[in-house]
Amino acid sequence: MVSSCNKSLITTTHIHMTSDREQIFIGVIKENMGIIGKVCRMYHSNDDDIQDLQQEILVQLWRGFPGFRGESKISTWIYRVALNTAISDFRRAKVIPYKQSIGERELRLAESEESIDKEDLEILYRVIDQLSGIEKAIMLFYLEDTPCDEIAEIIGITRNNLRVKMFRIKEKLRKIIQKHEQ
Amino acid sequence: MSNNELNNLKELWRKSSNHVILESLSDKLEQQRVFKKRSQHALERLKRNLIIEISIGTAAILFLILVVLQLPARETTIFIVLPLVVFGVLFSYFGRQVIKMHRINLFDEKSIKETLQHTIIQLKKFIRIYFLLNWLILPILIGWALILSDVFNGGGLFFPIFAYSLWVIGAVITTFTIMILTIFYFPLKWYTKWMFGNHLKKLEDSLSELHDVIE
Repeated sequence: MVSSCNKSLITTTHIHMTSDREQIFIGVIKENMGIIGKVCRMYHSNDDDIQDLQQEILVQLWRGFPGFRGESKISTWIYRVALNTAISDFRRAKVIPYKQSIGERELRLAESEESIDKEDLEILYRVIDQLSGIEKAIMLFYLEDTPCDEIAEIIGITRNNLRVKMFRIKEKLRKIIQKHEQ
Repeated sequence: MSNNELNNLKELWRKSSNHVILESLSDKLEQQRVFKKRSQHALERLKRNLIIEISIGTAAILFLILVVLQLPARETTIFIVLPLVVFGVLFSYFGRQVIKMHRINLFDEKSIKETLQHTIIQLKKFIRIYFLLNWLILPILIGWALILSDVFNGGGLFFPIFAYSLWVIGAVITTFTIMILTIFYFPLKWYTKWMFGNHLKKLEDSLSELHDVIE
């Protein structure tokens, strides 16, 4: 899950030179753009909210970049900042009709080469929308096949606690899907 | 939930999340330097609003000091200078709390749980100070408004009080202060809760989710 391409670049040197900092930062973000996109997608359902969160995460990452000491992988740090931003920001989400929001997403997906069944997609988004902020974070890592140790470290809970949480989330997912099928 | 169903979800996620609007992010990063824009995060906006409040409060104090220096009656001047000192002390203490609020960072290499804990502690402290400051300042502000309006209207309403002993003056001020503090306690509690309570509750809910299993 975690790309470590830029890890050596960041961990070996502290980033203090302002002139180079921007370019290094842009490089790091481009390399880890997927992480930001996935976090935004997990926490918001419409394009405007996604764009807002995306920008906010970038602002927070830029502010924290000089202080990044390389104690963890750069991708882990990006996950932390992105999730901290998403979980603690409670601006009023723009309410859009559920069907319409699916329609927007579908349109976007239609441009891609991969085809996804509309009903499956609806289940996926319905499942995500019903999770809490913390559950979404755990679910994100689970869907990304992140190792348990790494999830526990980023979230700040023990492995046992994480296992219980994952079990509960799976139960919740099962109920949502069952309800949908009925 | 079966492994098969979970794998289906994973596959769906993989396909759908690959197409989140990131096409323009690359250009935005290069050309617009979006990462240098002002933060719109709820906590950041809260900090900014507080700094504005403190700046306006400080400007108002300076203005009032100038007004007080122009006043003719010595007793009245003392009456107004004392609350000014109290006001100044409260504001400087409040300012220190705002500086502490600045230490809430979302970008530290801390876990989500630690960041939540830190943020909640700071926010709680801040809300308490915010409430106390506004609550204690209210009698001063109202008292000021009454005295100043009286001074500019010839001093007929409140000036006679200076003829009484200090005990009487003290008793009047104490009664007035208690009355104002009692009247405004609950409305101000409600206002503070309305301003910050929702945000704090959501942060606490998120944190309690991480606590609800015995570690």
